[in-house]
Amino acid sequence: MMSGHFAPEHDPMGTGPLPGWMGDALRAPVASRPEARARIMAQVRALPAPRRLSVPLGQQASRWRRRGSLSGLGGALLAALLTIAVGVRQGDRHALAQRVHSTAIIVGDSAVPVRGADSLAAIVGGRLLDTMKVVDYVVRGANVQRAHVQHAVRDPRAKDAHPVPFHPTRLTRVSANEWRVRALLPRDAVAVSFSVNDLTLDPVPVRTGSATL
Amino acid sequence: MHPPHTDNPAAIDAALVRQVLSGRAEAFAALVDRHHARCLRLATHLLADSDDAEDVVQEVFVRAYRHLGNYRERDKFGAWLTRILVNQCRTRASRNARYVALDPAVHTADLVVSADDDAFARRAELARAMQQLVPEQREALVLRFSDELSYDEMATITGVGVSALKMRVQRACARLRTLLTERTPT
Repeated sequence: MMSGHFAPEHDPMGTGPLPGWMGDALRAPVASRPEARARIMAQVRALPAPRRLSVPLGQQASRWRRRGSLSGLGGALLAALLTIAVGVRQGDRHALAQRVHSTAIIVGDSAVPVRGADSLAAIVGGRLLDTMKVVDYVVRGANVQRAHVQHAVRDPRAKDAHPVPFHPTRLTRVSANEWRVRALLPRDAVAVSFSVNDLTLDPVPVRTGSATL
Repeated sequence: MHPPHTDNPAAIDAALVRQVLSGRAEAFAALVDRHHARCLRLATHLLADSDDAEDVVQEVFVRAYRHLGNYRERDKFGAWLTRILVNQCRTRASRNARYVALDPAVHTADLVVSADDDAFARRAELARAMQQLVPEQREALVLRFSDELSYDEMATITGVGVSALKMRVQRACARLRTLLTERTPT
């Protein structure tokens, strides 16, 4: 019955040796349940309405604005903005340092109980008192809103590299252009840095009288 | 629902999709009407089981509606739907561990809507022979000849390379020739 069906026939798809009747058979419609469409639509109506998650083709951003296309330029722009921000900050700091004068002058020494002085080790070791410097911190200048002694360091050139344990101390306004506080300073600190209007200035040496330590 | 005024099937589908996404769910019925027969034919050939095919096609349309927001207009809706269908058929087949109908008579009976006795016999033979193809070959053959897709379209839908698809179709055809010749009474 079928032998004739495999005789060489035209190949409308241009793909290979498939007899035409097979293609017809594969393309022939199949019987469907009459209620199939209604069942599908009943399920569809029970679902929430779909929402477009992607931007329609006509509204898509140009290829130059898509993510990644301008990453090089964007990176350079970001670096430039950061550089400008740092430059502005440095400029503010430089301008502030120009109009503000800060000093830290030793006025004496003080002995305070060492930390843990009531411990057995401190009692046995006989180290109950610690010598601290009594220092007058002064900030003079216009437009000063806030002033703190922020850091104490052993080496002013290394800035924060050799910090001395120190609690930031707030200066009190004593006149229109002067802020002052007297506080203790660890004996090994040789410089302190002030924070004025939230900008940290370069460390200034701690002096005794007119002599620098 | 406003029917789109164009003869381009892809443009009609795209317009209907836009209507559905704008809140007119009834426009989806037109999409079902346009693609249901084709999807059912493909699923029937792929699964070789008319009940499974009906279930899968229903799942495909529901899934398509649910994910219609992901559909991009630069794709063809028909191809997108076919991709969902093929994936669903693969899932169903692996779940049932069958790309082969348990009862070939059910499948062949549903294949024939109106045909003479000779055509019916041919199609029954073809259906039985197709059940002996490996699933990948049957899938390639069905997409190529039942849906008349190009190899590029098939590659997009299946994720298989064009050369591999050509090989599958060639081998499927050769296998069918052998099977049908062996069964042909002399």
